[in-house]
Amino acid sequence: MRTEGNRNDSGIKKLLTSNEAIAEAVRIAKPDVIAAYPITPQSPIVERLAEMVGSGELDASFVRVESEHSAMAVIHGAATAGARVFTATSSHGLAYMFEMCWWIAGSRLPAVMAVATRSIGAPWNIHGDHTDIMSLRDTGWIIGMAESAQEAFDMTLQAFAVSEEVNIPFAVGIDAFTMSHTAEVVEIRDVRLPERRQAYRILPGMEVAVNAVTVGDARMRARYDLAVDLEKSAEVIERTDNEFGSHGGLVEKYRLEDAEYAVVMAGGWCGDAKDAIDMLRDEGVKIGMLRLRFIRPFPEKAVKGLPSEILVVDRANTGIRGILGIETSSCGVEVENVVAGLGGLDVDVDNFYRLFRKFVDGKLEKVEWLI
Amino acid sequence: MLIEVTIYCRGGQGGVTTARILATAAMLQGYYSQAMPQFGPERRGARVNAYIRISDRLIRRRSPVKKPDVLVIFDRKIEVDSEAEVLILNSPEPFSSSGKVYYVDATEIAEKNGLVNAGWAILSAPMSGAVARALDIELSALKEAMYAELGTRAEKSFNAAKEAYEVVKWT
Amino acid sequence: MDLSPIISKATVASAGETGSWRNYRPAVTADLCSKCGNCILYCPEGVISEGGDSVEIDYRFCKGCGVCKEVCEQRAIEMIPE
Repeated sequence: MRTEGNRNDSGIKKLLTSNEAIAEAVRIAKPDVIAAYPITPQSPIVERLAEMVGSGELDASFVRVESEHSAMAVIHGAATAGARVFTATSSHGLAYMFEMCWWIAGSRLPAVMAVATRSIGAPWNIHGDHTDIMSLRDTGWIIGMAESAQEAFDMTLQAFAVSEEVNIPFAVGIDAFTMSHTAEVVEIRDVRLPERRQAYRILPGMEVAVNAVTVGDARMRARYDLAVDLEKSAEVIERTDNEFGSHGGLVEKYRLEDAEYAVVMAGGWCGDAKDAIDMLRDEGVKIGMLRLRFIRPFPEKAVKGLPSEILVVDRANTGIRGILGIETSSCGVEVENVVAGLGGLDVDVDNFYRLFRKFVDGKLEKVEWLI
Repeated sequence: MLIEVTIYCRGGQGGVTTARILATAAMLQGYYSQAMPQFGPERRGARVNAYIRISDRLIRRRSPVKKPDVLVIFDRKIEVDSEAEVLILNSPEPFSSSGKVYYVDATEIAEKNGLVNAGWAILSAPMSGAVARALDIELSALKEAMYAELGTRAEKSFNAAKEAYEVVKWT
Repeated sequence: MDLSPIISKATVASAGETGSWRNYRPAVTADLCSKCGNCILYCPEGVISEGGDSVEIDYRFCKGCGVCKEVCEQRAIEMIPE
């Protein structure tokens, strides 16, 4: 059996998990410094990078640290000196480096981090949801969420370009296991990134203090600038989208043109949901999806353009509601909100079909948990 | 067209490697493909599944396969209740099923080719050969896939895969 | 409040009959066994107990790791391929 199915694209095809696709993208980005601590399900990313550094395929310093907090501290220091930097983590690892995530964003240093998004204990669970990466929302990071290994590859390369232009660190989210450990066909594009740029560099011999204690309105101004620049990064993401796989910029609009019902989601589980949307479309239901490729900057404009019937399906909660449910309704639209798939609880095409059917039939509560 | 395959095996027998080899071979023949382990702790000897999807269109779903078209069983002692159209067995003889049954003594082929680790026959090579035959994947694509996935270890494995590809029988 | 996701008790066979994972079976030669109890203490699965004239292994759950063979000072345990 033969087909032309995957032959339309140029570039070398490889069967890669999203973990492996990210490692390939990082190889192409040629970072100067990588520092990471292993944690399931992210570990294969940095294991592969360590192999590349070990074999000489990648000319970078791989710093083996004793914790994720130290990993981000190393990244912070190296970035300060002008190095292109990368790290990866998940779940408790991200929780452990949380303090340094604030430091690097507040210091306006470009950096790229992959997050294989996993639940946070307790109860103990190694499987996927979006609880960990959503905790970055307030730090000032750019937060992207890929749907496929191809997008994970493209977004990681875009992350370096965007982060280094806007001086804001960039997190690339991939769903634990369903993406991190699922091998798919990926087209490896040999992108040439611009040289490392950043707002400032601190080198030995320079007589300056970095992040000395502030008084008065200094912190207020710095936070304001970061917030404004984070919003402005949307333009850079949109502008560079076609250099990195043309995935749609801040959002992907799936069958939304004539839609009367819109589903808002993010992450790797959107693929199963799209197949369910196709099933409903076949039955004549005008339903589509707004897939949030970015949580920060939040795609407010795209949300405001949605039809009036909106369902937000969340994989992380704050209180009884989903986090994206709150974010979406903050744009001034009415939403129904479902929290589902915590701790890797499988939500497949059939589950999405039944959920969307209930939504379209007007039988959903304002907030529901799919248990 | 979408073919969904579930592999039933034991941790350490090479089920995940088999999924990757076959998905790579399908990719080389122009298909979109996906190889997925059963998510969770890796435990030697425990029953585990691996999944393959092959399609002429982009594959978007990533949830585990629930209703496989093809079932691959590495160990006859694993009891499986399924309505799959095609069964592929590691067994010297077939067992009765409503679907088409492919069978090959993969353990013997693995042992003959020295594919043994800590007392376990590593079945990824011969089972890849048998499944490739059943799915109409060409031997040349299988060979290229095995070299891509296994690197320098591929030669011995490919010999075992080729043998299984050639001797696999079906009902 | 449902505490079952948080507080659980060990139960027999919560992972099924893990004896099916085994590819080497520990076999005890009773004549050589001094009933010192080393294997009982070291068995990571807790499936060895004192028997009549030697020790008894619960093969429903023994995974065949071979720790018992390693710690047996009398060399009374052999690992036999299944």
